[in-house]
Amino acid sequence: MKSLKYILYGIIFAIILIKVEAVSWFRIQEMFYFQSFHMYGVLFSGILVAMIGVFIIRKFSSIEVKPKPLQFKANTIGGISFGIGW
Amino acid sequence: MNEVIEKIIYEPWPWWVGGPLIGIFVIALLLIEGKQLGISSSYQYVCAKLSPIKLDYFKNVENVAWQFWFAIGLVLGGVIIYGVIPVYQINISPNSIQSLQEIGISPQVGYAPEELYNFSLKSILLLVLGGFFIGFGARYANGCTAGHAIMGCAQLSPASIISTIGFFIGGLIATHFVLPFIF
Repeated sequence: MKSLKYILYGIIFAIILIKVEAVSWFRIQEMFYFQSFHMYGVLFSGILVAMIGVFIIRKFSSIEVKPKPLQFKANTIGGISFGIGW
Repeated sequence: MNEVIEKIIYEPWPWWVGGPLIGIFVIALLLIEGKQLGISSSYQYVCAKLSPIKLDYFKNVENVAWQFWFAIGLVLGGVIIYGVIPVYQINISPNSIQSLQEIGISPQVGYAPEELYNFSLKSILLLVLGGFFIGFGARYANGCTAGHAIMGCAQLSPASIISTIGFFIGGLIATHFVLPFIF
């Protein structure tokens, strides 16, 4: 049952990402050419809304929101590698 | 009313609708399930389940099991959309259409170009190689665009900001120095 619940979350998230075209290779290329605000708008507004939520959750609830540990070398090398594939 | 619903289903959403929805999704996942958005730890889970070798990295994977089911849902969501909405041409900027034509990618319908998915030996090699960079990078950096760029940056976590800058440097390298020589 738990697995079914997360499958449903996945479906919802997929629909958002597809409808806003964030999954599109063309949109991603356009972003790396700096020729449209679309993907930057998606990322920045998504992060901003999530940031406000995280701030409120941390302040008013006991739900833990833990940042990932800093590993400078791994974050940099892994990040660049992921980006090349992206 | 019906027109509005049809528009929501059949037309792409502007960034100021989809972006905030991603943020709301992140908050809902935290509030209802206490989970921080992430996708690529599902790789860790699958590898731990399939690998005949037992590594320390493969221990305690049960807490990322949900991401495995989440990833399956992502694929199913794609299948559903594919079944409901006819493929259309993504409305990227005219400059981008021109830039892509210069490297040999024609304007066309769909989310990704045919040149990348035509099952030629070259396209298969490219996809496998790209997958290698993605898979290695996501695990070595300890997160992907979901876990680092969205969830992590929303917490202003240094690890996530560095990783996200890395994603962009890698993407710029691939776009400007690799792709022009491939097609």
